[in-house]
Amino acid sequence: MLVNDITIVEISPCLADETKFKAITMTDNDLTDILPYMNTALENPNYQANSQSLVFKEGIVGFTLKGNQINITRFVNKTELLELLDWVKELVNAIDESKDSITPNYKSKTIVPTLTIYNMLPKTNCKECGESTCMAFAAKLNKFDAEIGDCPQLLKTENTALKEKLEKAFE
Amino acid sequence: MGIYLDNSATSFPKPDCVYSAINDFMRNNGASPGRGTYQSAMQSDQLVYETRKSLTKLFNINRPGEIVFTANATESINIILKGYLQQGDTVLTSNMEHNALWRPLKALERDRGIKILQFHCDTTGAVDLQEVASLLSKKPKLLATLHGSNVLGSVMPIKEMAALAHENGALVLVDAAQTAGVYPIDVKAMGIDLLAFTGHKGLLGPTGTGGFYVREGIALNTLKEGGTGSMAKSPYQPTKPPDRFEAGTMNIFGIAGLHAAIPFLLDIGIDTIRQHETELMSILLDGVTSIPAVTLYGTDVPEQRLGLFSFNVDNMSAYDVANKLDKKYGIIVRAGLHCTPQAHELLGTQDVGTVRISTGWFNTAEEMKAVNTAIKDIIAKG
Repeated sequence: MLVNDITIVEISPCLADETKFKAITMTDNDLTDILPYMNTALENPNYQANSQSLVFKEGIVGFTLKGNQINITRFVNKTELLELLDWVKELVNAIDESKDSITPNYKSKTIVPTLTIYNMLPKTNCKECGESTCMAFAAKLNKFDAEIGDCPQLLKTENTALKEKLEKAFE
Repeated sequence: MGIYLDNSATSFPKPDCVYSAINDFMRNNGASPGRGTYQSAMQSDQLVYETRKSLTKLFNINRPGEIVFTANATESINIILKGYLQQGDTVLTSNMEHNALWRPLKALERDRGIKILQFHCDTTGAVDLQEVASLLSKKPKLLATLHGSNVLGSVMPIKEMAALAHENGALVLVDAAQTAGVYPIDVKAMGIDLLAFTGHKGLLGPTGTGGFYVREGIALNTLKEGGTGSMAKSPYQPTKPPDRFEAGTMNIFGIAGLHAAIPFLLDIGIDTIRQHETELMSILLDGVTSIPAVTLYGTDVPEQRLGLFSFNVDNMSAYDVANKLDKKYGIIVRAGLHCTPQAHELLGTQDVGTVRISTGWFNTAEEMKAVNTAIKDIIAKG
């Protein structure tokens, strides 16, 4: 197996949400080579070839994989962390075992600057996405903490052109 | 130790791996889980997690986080009942519950005005599902019942009852104190929403261990609050299990024992354990049913009972029988009401109690034959 053991190095409170925690963990083997396969297999990951890292979400929990390190954010207790480590270990090993049938994707996800994103939003500050302003939503999109479809205004017919422009920017 | 036959009270002996695991952890680790971030504390965390995981395999539970550790099944049942039932709620239960479930219900009836409905098992422990369905149509909030009777050895038809309960909007709590580890339990297949278990009977762990399964999405108020090793800044108890219900230092030495015990059971297989106990019952029941002076309570069909039965002997008190078996033959059984007075009211033995024999994995066929001989001898000699 690619990953046999994951060791917890540090657990600390999440800065953004004091009811949640984040952890730094280390795997027994380097994950660099498997990341492009995960880039193909997962839905909406953020792979960056220059830093050889992969970020993805499972529900509200965030995973960052780089080298031997897996960082996990937004879990509520240690039991959940251990469940998540079991889960990510199974996921990585399953993808590793079926590597032969996966075409690796070495293309990095395009990072679009926050201001560029903002200029392509309807700028109504409607708060329907859960953010107080469109700039805040743009910052989330920049970090892949939100998706284009999370903005209800962009889903309206009159904003189709804006939506398509934004989708093209992220290609 | 002679022939130990009080496994319904607590199992004995435990597997060697359980003794070793507790000794090893006490000597070489000793750290409290969920408190420090040093290596031994992390190992302690991992041990607790793995024990939860092995319980998910045993009971077919989705996630380890749905399992809470407590001191025993009694504490588990108290947490669940007092956490779930509110002022004026109605609960459906049987007429032969152990005091672990009956007493908290009666306390809730007195203190929170909950209404208790009861379905009636007969003297073999059999349930009339039509009566259950009829009572469930009164829309109780919860069906709370034992899985296996510690007096009769009968087993409730949980799957059928749970289906009826869910049709009527009730959740299902099962007291698995007598069945966990000796009888197949699949919470999904059986429709169990809340399962209370003890670690020191069929699970072959040490005393002071137990827990419950709470299906994700079920909200329970807390029975106690305190330190959980997580979110210490908050003045309030965490909202999510298991931390929510695990205030205070865990019985980590006990869980170390359980950590070894459950894989031991899984390796053997619950079906194999069940078959073994059925074979032991077969020998015992053949013996006692051939003695005219013995009154057997419940079915004489071994396959229809757990590895336990109650009996009495004409003209001898239950205590006398138990004392003689112990002192003269080294056979350990229990006499009395077994903390289940309701079952004895059903049998008409509330003033005299019964002798109860309860087998375990480590009992042998030869031991059962010796028990039969001893009972005959006691009766013959008076």
